[in-house]
Amino acid sequence: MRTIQYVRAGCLIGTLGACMLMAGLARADVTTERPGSILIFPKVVNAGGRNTVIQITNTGNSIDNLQCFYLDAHSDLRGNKVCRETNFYLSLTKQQPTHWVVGSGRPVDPNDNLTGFDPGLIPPVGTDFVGALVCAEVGEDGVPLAQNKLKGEATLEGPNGDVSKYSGIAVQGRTVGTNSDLSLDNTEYNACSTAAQFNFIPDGANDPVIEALGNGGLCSGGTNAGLGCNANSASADCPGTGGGTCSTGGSSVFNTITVLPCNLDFRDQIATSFKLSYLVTDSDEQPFSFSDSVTRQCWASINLADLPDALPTPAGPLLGPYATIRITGASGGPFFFVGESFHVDAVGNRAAAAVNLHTEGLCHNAPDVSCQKDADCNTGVGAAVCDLTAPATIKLP
Amino acid sequence: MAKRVLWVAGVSVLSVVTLLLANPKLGQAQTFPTSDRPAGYVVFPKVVVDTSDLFGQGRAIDTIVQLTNLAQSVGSDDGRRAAECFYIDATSRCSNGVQPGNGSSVCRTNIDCTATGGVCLAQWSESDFTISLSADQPAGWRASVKTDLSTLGHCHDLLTFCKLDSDCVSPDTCVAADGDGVVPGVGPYFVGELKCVEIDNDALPASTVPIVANDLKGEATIIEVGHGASGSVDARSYNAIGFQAVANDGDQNLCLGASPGSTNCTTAEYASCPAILVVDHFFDGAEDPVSGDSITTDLTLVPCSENLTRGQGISSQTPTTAQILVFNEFEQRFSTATRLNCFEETQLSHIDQTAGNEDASIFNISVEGTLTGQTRIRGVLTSDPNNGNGLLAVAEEFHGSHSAAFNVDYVGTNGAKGDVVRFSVAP
Repeated sequence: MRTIQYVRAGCLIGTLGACMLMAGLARADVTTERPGSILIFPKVVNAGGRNTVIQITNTGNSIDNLQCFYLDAHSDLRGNKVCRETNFYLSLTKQQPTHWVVGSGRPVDPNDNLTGFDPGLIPPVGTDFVGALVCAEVGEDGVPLAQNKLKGEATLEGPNGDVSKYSGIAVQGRTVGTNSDLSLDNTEYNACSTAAQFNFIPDGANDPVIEALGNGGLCSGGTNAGLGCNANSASADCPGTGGGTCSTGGSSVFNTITVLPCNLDFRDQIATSFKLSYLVTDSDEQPFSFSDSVTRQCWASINLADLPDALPTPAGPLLGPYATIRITGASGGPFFFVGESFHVDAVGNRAAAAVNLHTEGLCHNAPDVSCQKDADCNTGVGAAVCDLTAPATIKLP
Repeated sequence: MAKRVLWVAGVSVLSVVTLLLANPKLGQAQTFPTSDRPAGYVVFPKVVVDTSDLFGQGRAIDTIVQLTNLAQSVGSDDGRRAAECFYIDATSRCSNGVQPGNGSSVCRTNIDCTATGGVCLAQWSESDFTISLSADQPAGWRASVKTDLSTLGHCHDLLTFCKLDSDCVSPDTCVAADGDGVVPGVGPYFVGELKCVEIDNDALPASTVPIVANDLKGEATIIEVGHGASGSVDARSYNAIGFQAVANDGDQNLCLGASPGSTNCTTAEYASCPAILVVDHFFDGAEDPVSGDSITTDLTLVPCSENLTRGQGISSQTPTTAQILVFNEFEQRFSTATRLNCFEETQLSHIDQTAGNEDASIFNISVEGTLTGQTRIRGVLTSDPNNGNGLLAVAEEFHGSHSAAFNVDYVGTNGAKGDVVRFSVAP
């Protein structure tokens, strides 16, 4: 009888052990759809007719204290990024959502027109602000604390009422130390992904929906000469004597990818230097790889139009209406990313749509090969190991 | 004897643990669905098309679907992957057929059918297609029109699809693409979803066999445009929701998590559905703090369990009740519930109130008093072992005439039950 009990106990312990190991092995990196302890908004703008609304929610049932940092990455008069941080504290009651507009901040004033519990004094950013927002869970004493209760979104607004939205990137905490260095190393916090992937319509190519249904061209005559039209409705869009003719190919798409290094030093205000590597694949399955020639500082918003090998023919090498780009760190990585595509008709009407990028790993034994698991790295060279994440540190003051 | 048995048991358990450790597919797979990682089964909860502006709203709509095969050519693996995809048409139709106003039977609400005394009935039907993508190949298509990936070559002017050089204006030539398969067009009006599962490319066309692979990533961009002197453009994008594969028996039941008492899914084949969806949103009627526009949010909910076998209708889908909690910025809590059969697209204020009574909704700023809120949605579990009652969602936010879409957050999984997607394919 005792033997059976021993066996049962052994099996139970073993099963629990297996479950724990399984849990421990589950892929651990940053996420855009589960609450975490560090919340990253890589793209925050209050410049060029755009402003940003930040939404943060405490998804837990106890109070959540945060220390937040704006990273100001606008360029000074000499063209150098200022890479300056401003920090502030928030406190969210259980399940409390909150919001603010970065251009105006949020005062602590129960009598103002911002209803809801004020989470703390939030300073406004300058009128030329481009950069990022980072918030980390801390205890009441300001010591880092991993409760994994934070989620959030950023809404980029303007110009002319346009809106696009992405989810804050959450880094889940594990066993957090008491010092102010947040180690994103899969021990204290989950680590950052080693690579990211973005699907896009190449810059300068036509938008297929606008060409088919919207103002893909301009009237070349009639009473609406120079105004927008669709070639399939030329007679209606371009009325009058000499009208009835509408050009095509006037629409376009352009894309930006915003990059924030996972290594951030808010304590010593040291900007992270980095370079990126890119692999673009077009619809014709042709790969084009290249890297940054100049070193970037602290934050970057990259126009894909500025990457010659990410352009469609004849300006660049890409063929076909769709492409995909993989971005990795040549130095200074890993990184957080956000992508944004802008769809423009022939008249200049513009709409932005933001997305979070997909994340993936790189083969340790073949760094040119992306992977999801070790078996993806069976190149025949070296041991097949997929590096899904890479370590980084966020240093708080 | 006791020690011997214990030793054997311990070694056996250790072996299991070692096997689990040694199996990277198990060890590195996600237990949650994800919209930011490649996966073996991807869901686009909302695809919408209205190319002819059927209800006179001053804009046409189409959805660009982008799907990329992230597998690469490594060793003996050429990286080519296939996907079996399912469009699910949830376009509602008037009970009394074609309406005189627009010559169509499709409808959004009963109001679209009342001219002839009909009611607007929810519908559900699936159609499937197979595509094949070479290593690292990005594919894309407009949902409204048929796209033959094998002829998705392109003239160098980038404007003209081609298969032969003669399809281009001389001296331009055609660069052929390497994709294969025909994506059917959904027609001029469509509301529904798209689901794709990675299958064994080598088994085609004889059989459709799901495999343990996670190579698909996708995005949907819904574009609304107007043309002429008052033309406009609006666009919103979201990521497809991916379920990473952990195992597969090759049958045509996709097991999203394990259901010990189920007919076909005692073992998990893909990540489980989330137990709770968490949506941050502006309350309907809130004034945009930047532009001053009025804001509303639409939520599209789809069930994780679905019967995609051919010839099935809405009656073959199992309804799910969604229990909903709403919190405002004063930490005040409200709750409501809704029931969905297969596809529910609704403005938040219409979850608990009818059109015209939005001000009385717990999703409306008139009730909540604060600009933003948090909504938590939980599918209520039933006793059916073949339905985990999991839900997926995507949110769309409308600020005046502009919009944005975003994926929602997940909390927990239903450990006791998984969801099942049954399918069959066209012969």
